[in-house]
Amino acid sequence: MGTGNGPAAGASWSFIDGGTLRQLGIASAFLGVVLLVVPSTLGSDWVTTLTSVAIYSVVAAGLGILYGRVGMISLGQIALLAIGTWVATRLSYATALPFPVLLLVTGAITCVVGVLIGLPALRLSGLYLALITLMAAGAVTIVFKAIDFPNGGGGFTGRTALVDLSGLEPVRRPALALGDTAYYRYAVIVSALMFLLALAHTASKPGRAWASIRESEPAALAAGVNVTVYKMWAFALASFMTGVAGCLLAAQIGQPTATSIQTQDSITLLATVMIGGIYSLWGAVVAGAFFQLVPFIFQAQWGISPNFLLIIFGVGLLQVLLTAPGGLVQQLPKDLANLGRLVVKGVRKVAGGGKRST
Amino acid sequence: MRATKIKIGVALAVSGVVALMMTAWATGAGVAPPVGSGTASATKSVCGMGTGKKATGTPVKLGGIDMLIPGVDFTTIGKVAAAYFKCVNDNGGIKGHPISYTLYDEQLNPAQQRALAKKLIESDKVVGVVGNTSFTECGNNWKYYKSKGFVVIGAGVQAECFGTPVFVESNMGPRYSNIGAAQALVRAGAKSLIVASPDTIAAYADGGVLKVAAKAGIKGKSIPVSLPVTDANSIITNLVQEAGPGGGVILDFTPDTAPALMKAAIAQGVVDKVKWGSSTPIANTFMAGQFSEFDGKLFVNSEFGLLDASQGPDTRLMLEILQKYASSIAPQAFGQMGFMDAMFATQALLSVKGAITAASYNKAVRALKNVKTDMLCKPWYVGDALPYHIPSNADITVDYKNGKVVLKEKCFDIQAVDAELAQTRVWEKKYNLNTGK
Amino acid sequence: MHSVVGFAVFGVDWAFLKPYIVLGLALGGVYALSGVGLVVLYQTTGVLNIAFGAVGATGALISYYLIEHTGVPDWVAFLVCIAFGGVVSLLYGLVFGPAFAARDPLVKMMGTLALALILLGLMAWRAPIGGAFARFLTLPTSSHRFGLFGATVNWTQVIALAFAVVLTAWTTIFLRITSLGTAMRAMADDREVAAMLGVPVRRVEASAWLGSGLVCGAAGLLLADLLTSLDYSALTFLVISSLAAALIGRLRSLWLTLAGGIAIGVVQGVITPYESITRFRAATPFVLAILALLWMGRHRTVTISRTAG
Repeated sequence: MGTGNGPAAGASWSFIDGGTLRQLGIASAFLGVVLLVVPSTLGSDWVTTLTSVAIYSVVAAGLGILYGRVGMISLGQIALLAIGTWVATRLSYATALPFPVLLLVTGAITCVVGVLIGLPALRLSGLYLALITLMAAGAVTIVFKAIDFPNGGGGFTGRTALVDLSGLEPVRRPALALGDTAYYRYAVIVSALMFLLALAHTASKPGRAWASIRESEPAALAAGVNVTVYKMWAFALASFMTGVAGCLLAAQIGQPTATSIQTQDSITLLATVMIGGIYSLWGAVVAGAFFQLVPFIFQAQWGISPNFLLIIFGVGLLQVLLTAPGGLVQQLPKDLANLGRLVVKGVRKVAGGGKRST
Repeated sequence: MRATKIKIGVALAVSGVVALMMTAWATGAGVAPPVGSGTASATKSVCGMGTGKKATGTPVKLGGIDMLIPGVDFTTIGKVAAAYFKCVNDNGGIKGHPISYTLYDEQLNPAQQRALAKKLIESDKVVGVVGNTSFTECGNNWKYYKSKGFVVIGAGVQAECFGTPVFVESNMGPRYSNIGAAQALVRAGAKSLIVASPDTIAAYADGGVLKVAAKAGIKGKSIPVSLPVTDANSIITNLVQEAGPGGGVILDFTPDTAPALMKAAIAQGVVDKVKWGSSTPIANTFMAGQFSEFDGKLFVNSEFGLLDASQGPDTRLMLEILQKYASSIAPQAFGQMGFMDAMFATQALLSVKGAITAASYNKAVRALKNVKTDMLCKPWYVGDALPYHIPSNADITVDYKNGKVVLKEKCFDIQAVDAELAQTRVWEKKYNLNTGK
Repeated sequence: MHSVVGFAVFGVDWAFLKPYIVLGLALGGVYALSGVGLVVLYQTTGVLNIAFGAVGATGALISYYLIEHTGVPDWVAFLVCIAFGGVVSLLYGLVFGPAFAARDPLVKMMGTLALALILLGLMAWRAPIGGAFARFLTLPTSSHRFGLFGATVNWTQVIALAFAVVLTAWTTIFLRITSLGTAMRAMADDREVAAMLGVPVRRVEASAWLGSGLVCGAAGLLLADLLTSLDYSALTFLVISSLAAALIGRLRSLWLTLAGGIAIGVVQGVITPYESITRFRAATPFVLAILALLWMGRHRTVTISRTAG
């Protein structure tokens, strides 16, 4: 997949050593700030937006693993997210499962669906896999627009035909996280757990298998790697994570509707994931921020039309594809380092020039 | 690296050129027609206090959130409300205080809708939320508004806009507008009622028509349509086939979708085969001008009065306000909704005794009743803490004629096939909400 | 309406379905046209152009603006739409073609995805739709209609279908027989080798993008008329349904793409009157494409080549 700027080529991930420990340290500090400092310093509108950032960064992480680690692209992650949201909503109305169990069951069901979609598509490569996931996403969107999301009624679709909706109950939230700030913290913690799950995979055997598959599938096969199983595993992991994110989203929204699913989102998600950086889990966080936070800042804080953002995403995607395959997460440290070197050079020149002139 | 950077620069430059090429695009809405084309009525409406003096005190803050997606732009409603508030500010404001109205747009992202509502209420500290219109905001935010004690005056599409306690709309929404169209068709002798709506609202929007058909003893069927429409001809053929000769077809679409279906009906030559009804969105001169083939053959249920100066003082005021403060917006139903939302909010503000706070404003909104306007058939109201509000439940039928929208049937009550509508009428009598006393 | 004779074949009432089949053929023309256009682009430039719909929609909007707000005669505006498609595609190909040349088809496709996003943003920003208003771009051939098996078809629909057929035939011959066509195929396959073999790479690339772009503009014009309302979002995302036709043709065979597009249209049309499944009929392109892809991939065990195939 193009020129190697990936994890193999001098990236910031090594398996178990000081580098990883430092990364974990940074992550913990970041998590601390996000959980403790942010809610008290920013308003509740920011808290709602940042909850979305956490949720969509999990989806972005799934997509990043599929593409960045294994070289498979799925354009159906938003559809999987919708499936997760639908399953969580239906189960919330139909059962009395405690929220953590709801998360796991939703993740599991979405995982199965993702694997079922992925299984026949595994034999196809790159472009075809992307296109078949796009087709699956299109079909799923049509189905949801036809049956909509459950809102407390009976039957498989769970839609009520009542006109008086004043008694409508939203999707359950966890008992200890009913308010928006508490739910924000809950969502961030669950997202962090999903990231840990992803990290556990990439830092161990599956991660190595994926890397070898990405480099060369026949070589991996020859080396005894069970390509089909590991590809399925990647799909399963990404689908599970997306399903859990879907459940978090259902409880955040309360009353999800099919109208909110937009075709454009699959494309924008891919663009933000690429811009954030597919080779690093930090890139997924950046992607989530671009997808949910930046539009909010543009529109509500600065009054700029969100359509303008589409143009920025397009240009950003082009830039990533052409010059910075690792995305912002890889490019920014490099740029800052370059800037630092320039500054040091400049300072030295001035100091050296000063000495000479005396 | 440098070469690629140049390429990106070129790409940006090209984008810029293309943007410039598109710069002069208007929204195509045109300019408002001259005011005073009908006979003047004795009374005159004014904005707010009508003093003609600019308000200069500390502003009273209001806010609104409208949906803006490719193909459907509800921000027109908020913009007309903003124009009304500007007029109020030029006429003494609210006892000397100008109204400061913040309009946000949303793109159907539920978290975004919640964040914007929170920003308005908790960050921007508005005292009231007015002019909200969206496909999904009612459902997503009604519990939040309830928890904050806010009552939102807006225009709605979704079931939750007419089925939850804190939204009160200046329109009646697709379900009741479709019922009105169904009634008109039944009166005209239609032998069946086939209704087509976008699939995301079909279950709610079409349910009433099916009940009307059942009561009239004729065939009733709902055909949900997936948007965007790519096979309009097949849909129309199916609708007409289901309706049968002498049957009735009700279209429930906005002007971005309805033309494809109406042009297909013309192309397939079925305009005279069935009776055609519709909900409000196509009742405007743009559509009337485009579809003269339907002249005299349409039963369009119109939730609002005719957009003619002769309709009454409020309509005249709206036409004036559009010309003076929002000349790029043509007279249309969205304008009427925005005008009314702003007018009701202003009336509530003016009725507050003492300091204007979120609590006092929303209390005043809840107390609104018997608010007369020539844009609606009956007086408008909120009715305090009812579990749901359907204040607009009587309207007219209109048709196309020579590029204009003309009256076909005068004000009639929407048939109370829903228990909720029947209950609403009981409340109206019991609490004197729109009896004019 | 329900003919006894019609029940003869498979217990299906053909008389009842005839108008839907005809209208489905017309719809199939839409899918076939965009699908063939996509594959033509892919065969001549090696790039699957997801911005196909967006470029056409932008051109159609510019034509609309010219017709409504300037005194330019209609046919000039239509030509501008076609030319715009050519120019934008040519610019994209010249600026980004060489940069993406060595990358795999997936990356090339993502480049066009970026272009689609940019165009979508531009259109949404500069050409919003207000309330009581819609834009129409009508070709003169749309007012001329004729009846066929109980349905009415207009000449634009016929032209769209005919254009798809002619494009398929002409491109197949062009690519196989002419030297320019062979050069294009060679370049789409491997740019480096083609250059080494003495193919004038820049010129061939430019012709491929320009030619494909003109097709894109023409398709955009026809589709804007066929979809009635100039809904740039619908036109842009129509490419996803058209991809289904292209996938049925395995991104290789223009004839299969043509047949696939028509099949999708007919199936979708025929499903329309059947209550239990009609709500899902917009998923027809996707379902058929998935089935076609699964059928295509049934023998593969390992993916070896970096190029699509």
